[in-house]
Amino acid sequence: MKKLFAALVVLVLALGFTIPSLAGPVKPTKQDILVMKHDLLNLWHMGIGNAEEMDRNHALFSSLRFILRGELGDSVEYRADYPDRFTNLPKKYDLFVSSANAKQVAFRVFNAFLEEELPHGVFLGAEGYYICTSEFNAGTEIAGDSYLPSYCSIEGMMQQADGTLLLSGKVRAFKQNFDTGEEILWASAPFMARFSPADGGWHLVSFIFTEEAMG
Amino acid sequence: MKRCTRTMLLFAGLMLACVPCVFAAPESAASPAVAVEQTVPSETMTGAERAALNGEVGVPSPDLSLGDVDEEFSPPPPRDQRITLAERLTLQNAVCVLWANGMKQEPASVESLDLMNADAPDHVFIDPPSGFFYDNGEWVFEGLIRQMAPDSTGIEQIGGIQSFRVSFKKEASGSFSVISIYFGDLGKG
Repeated sequence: MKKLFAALVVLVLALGFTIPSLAGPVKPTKQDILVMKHDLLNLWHMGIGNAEEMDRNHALFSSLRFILRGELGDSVEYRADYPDRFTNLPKKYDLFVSSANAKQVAFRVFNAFLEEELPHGVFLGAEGYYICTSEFNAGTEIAGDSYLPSYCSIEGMMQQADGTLLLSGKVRAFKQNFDTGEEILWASAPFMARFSPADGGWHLVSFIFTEEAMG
Repeated sequence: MKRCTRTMLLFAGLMLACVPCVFAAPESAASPAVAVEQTVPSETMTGAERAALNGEVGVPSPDLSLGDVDEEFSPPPPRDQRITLAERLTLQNAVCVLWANGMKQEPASVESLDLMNADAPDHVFIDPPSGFFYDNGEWVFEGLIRQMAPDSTGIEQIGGIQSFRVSFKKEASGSFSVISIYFGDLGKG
């Protein structure tokens, strides 16, 4: 009887380990897809054409630049809105990005960890990064065209057996034709991208825009 | 013997009861539910302060503006009321769904809550949002919504464009209550 009980326990444990793999890979939610589209569009606007062009040795600089380009309202605190955050800091620091947000973007988009060396115009406080935008942006201004109305459409989506997600689609930007008043296609680029599931979301593993990126 | 068999059956039963949970479709981070309470068109528009601050960090306004905004300063949201990127994108998606489903009149009325959780058509988009701010306890999100539509020769262009303004509250549960939605004409679309 004891043997039968032991065999049953082993069987149940084996089943317990097997069932999750039978359940299949983690599927992206609608929110996950929206964030993926946002990230790809933002990278295109930053002029990064493929994963090899990403500067992973300066992930902090890249992540803060990414946040300032595309997540101002969501991830940034302004000195004017939250003066208590900036107490005893020189007035030149006008924005705050939490360490958690910067880390999340570094991992989610750049597949990297934040380095210790601080970019020019950035001060590290107890809870995050204080940015002097004029110093931080000096020499790295993003082209005005990168703020044109634009969107990312997904035309193909395929999940691999290892759980990674392959996306293909196109990014487009429109500009007003001052002769006709119509907004016409100004730039576009087909893309391929691969995302991998991770704790708390998905992260970008590789991507390529097959036409010259803007920015 | 009988006791042992009973224990085994109980154990096996418990494991079997867990199977449906494991096989259930994995759904991480459920989308925030969006509930619509009422529709009240509003004329109040603030956000000039924020637009100016945006200008400081090199974010130009879109080519087409919504019009006048008043100069009144709106206090910032409490930190627990702030909206995350995923939440903002979900709201953008919801506005696109409503607009794409024919809600282009002024003032708009919400017909179906299901629309809020649907997928927006691929070629309807909001970018860049021209206003996203906290005003008197409500979040306000405003800007231009566009639809790309190729012309008769296949050239991709913007075939429809309207302004929009949505105000909503973030509930303690993390869901949103929409207070008003407004779509306005720009003379085409």
